[in-house]
Amino acid sequence: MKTPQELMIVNELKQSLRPLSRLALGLSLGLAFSACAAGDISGGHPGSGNGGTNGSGSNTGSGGTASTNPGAGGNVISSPTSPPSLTWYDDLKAADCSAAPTAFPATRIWRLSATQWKNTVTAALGVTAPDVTSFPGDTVDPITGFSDDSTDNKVTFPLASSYWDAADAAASAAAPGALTAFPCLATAPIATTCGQTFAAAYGQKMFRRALSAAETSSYATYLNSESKLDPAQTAVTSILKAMMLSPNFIYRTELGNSKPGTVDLTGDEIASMLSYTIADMPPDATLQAAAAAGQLSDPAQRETQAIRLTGLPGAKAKLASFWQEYLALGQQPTSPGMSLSMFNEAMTFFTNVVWSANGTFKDLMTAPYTYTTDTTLAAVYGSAKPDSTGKLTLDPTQRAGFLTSASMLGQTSAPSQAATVIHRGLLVRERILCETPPPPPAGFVPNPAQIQLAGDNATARENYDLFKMTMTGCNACHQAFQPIGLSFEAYDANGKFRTQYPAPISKPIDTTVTLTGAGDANGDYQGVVDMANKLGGSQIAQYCFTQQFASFAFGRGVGFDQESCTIRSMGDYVTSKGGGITNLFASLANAPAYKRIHQ
Amino acid sequence: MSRRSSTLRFSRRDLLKGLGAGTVILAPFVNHRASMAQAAPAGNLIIFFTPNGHKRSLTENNVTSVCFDATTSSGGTGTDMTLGKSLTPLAPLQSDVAVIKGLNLKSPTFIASHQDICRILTCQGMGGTETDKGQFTGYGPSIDQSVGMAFNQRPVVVAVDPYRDAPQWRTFLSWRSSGVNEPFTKDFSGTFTDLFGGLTGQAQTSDQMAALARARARNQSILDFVKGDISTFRSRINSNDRAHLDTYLDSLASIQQKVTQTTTIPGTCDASPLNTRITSVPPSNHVQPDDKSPDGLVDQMNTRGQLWMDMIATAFACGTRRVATIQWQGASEGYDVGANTGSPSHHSVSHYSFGAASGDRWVAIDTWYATQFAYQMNALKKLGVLDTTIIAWVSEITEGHNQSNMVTVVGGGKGLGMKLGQYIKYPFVGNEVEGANAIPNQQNPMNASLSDLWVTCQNALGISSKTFGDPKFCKGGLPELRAG
Repeated sequence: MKTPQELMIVNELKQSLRPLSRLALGLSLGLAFSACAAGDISGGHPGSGNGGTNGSGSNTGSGGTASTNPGAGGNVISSPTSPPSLTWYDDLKAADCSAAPTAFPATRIWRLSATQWKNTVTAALGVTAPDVTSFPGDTVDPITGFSDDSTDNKVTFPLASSYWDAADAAASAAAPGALTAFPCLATAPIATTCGQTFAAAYGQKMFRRALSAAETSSYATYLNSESKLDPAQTAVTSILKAMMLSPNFIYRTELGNSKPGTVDLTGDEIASMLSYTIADMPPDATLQAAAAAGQLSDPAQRETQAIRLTGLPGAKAKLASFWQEYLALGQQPTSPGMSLSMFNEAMTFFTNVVWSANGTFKDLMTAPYTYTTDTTLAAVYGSAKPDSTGKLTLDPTQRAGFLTSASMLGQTSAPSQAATVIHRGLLVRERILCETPPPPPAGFVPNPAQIQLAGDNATARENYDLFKMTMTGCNACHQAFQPIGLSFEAYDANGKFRTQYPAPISKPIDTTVTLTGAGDANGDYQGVVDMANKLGGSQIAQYCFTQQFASFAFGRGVGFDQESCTIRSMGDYVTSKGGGITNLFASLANAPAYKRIHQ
Repeated sequence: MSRRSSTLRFSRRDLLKGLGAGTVILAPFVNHRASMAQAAPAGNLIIFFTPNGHKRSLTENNVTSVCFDATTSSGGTGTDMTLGKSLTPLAPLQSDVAVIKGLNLKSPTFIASHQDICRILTCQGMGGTETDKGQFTGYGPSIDQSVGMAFNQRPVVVAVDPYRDAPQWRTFLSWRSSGVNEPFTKDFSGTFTDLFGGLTGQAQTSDQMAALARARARNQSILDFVKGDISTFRSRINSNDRAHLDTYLDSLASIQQKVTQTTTIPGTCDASPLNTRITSVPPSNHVQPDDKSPDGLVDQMNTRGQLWMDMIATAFACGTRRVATIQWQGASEGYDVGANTGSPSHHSVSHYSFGAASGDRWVAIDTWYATQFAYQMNALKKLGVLDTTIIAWVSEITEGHNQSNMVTVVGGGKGLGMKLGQYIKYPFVGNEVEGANAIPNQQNPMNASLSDLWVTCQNALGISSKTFGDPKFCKGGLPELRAG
């Protein structure tokens, strides 16, 4: 029986965090409550249709191959449409990355995020940062779990409405400054030559590239005609608004010269790629100068710029947004309470580990400390008190990194014992090992009783032991994650450490686990701490993490089957730099290759 | 509804702010968008979506009671309809309601489950072997968007869930076109602006009229210029990316309607009471992108849902909009509004995660939503547009993980020829099985198609269509619901 305080904590836990998107999908498909008729499946899952459908694939060439849709001058890499195969790690290690890549992503346009839109307007117009809180949220991609997918994110009607209004406000605010900067604008009607100068200057800032002669002429003509009908300031407002609604402003481009076949990204495009990817901002003067000088075709120069950009405040914010989606934390709660405390715990932990101590992935997985100033949350960890910075030192035999944090344990708690075990096992299998078990078979009938066959008064292990004996077909997949979840039974729904179940179960908890299908992390472990220490230093977890970061950074699914060499390149770069996670940003300098296929 | 004079004087600012100024606009009056109303046939459509299917009957102590369903003396189609216990809130409106049993979604995803929120309004599959991403993709347009396009206007798509923020697969209900989801809004002020704020007061002076004309022309010129820019831009991009620009152009077309087609207020409707309610809606203090949310939100659900329903009814009465989709919760999640427990307890209840109590809880959830459905009908009735409005209540699954032998409630539209006050029961051949195994049964030609409901709605609304969705699964409508 939980105490009122414990119940409160559990409820707050439920409020504060959400399950991982793919995990949640699995649950919706019945993983948490699935119950297959005993022996009804022997091995495969008819009709399940994913998990193992993409990328049994060996790399048939170098630099990420096994590509599709051959185009002139190279093969096009496409984003995966299903989760990674269960053999991705072996495939990745076996990939031949010795030759120059021959397959590249397609050219594309990529809509600015709300943050990027705001930062670009602010930088280009020199106005107070526009309020973009009314912009509709971006779609969460069902495969990657990230909301910055370049294919998904279109200018829907609600977003176009927001653009219209926000552009109106920003243009109105910027117009007086433009008239001051370009006194010739005050002469009505505005001369074409004046308009061209104005359009070239503002257009370059807005579009992150120099305008063509045709473009400056077009804008100048428009400004001239508007200034015959409206006062100069209104006409300037209109042209600025038109610029903000232009696709040249709204979209980042990776088009090169737009000729069919393999194209090189332009210097301006590389500058935008680095700047927006690392810091969510348009290229600054230094980066623009490097682009103009043709330096960004040189990987070493790109690396130099990427390292510089990583030091900007925007990079910290960008990485924070990655954590929020990688860990499915949702948005920051706006009211005080346990929800906010747990959100803050997770974000402070990641930020401090990564930025304050050049932290590595292993640090994230093994750090025996957390951060909180909330005494109720701190009590979950025992009697120790946080120091003045909020750092709470934990017992290293009980806690190891974010997997054992109250926030993550709470996020993966569920009403039933079995569902909690499954949630936590899937967290490791999916997010740490990048292996997504197939969904339940067609025809399954959800019934929680069938997954807790030994009853509510049995231990989770007793229930699972019965399940795997009687539900052999189901266990073909459940064995990939449920045993892992059993090791998490050392933590109750609140995240409190325990060695024995409370009454009525009243039995000691066996947290041992044998990890299989986990590459260089395979082995026997005494519990989560032991397992986390191994996983943290494993190559499979490093590459898995890199793959997820790459999908976030590139705004598209980066598949193990086609882009093994890209993932390896990025992961190996970070390792070569001592493992600091912030090096992931600079790893972009070499990978992917800065070429595209235009079709 | 109170009627106020249309001669209220508007300042120049009031007149112009509806034309795109970047401020929140809460115009006290609304007007009739005459050009659209005159061109299109009368009639409105509401899609009323609730998740996780329905509990059609409940057996307790060996006694089976009808819940989200109805009965007749013959056991089949008939007007002597007795509503099931979940639908009793609709009893006072029974003569304006049809309960339909036996429709099937014939173009589901390969898994025929909750993901089919993306297909329930489109009735169109990907064709061939679906990929995982395909199972989250609608191949539209959905019925709401299809009707909206026929009316040359943008449906309003709203979400009641106070915690839902970013669209994701659970909310992929309305589809502008294949692969282009129309995201929901939960922004009351923004929607009010969209529905009513683009309208202006009665211009009283030549100065005001000139300012209005110039504002419209200015907006048009900006849009024309941007369209030219898009055309040039299009020539540079990858052919696969042209869908981005198509979507943007489609959005701009709706923006154009909003900012260039204003007319004056005839004084026939009054949206001002909605303003007060909008400002008093409690903020959602924790925006969740996924399915966990706290207990105790039923009051918010009530407040928000009823405000949306009143806004929709008012928009219909004023003629500013004719199609709306109200999405109460996302698929495979949801509050247990009967027990006032947080998401995903509705989903858990529907899978009997709470044991024997789940059945009663599920019936309570359905009953709560039936109360809301009745509220929507009454809101329309009060404004005199129930007879010209069809409200269709759908969910992404039936009762288990399939879309077999669904129970669908249709309200309103008597003036459009809808045959209401009856139970319509189509035969269902086969067994109701789960997931992909259900697809052959759903596609059995003997079983009625959900797409025929949408054809009937189209026809009632004056759209002379004979098919919707995948044509091979559509027979041209439901004559039992509306004479051809």
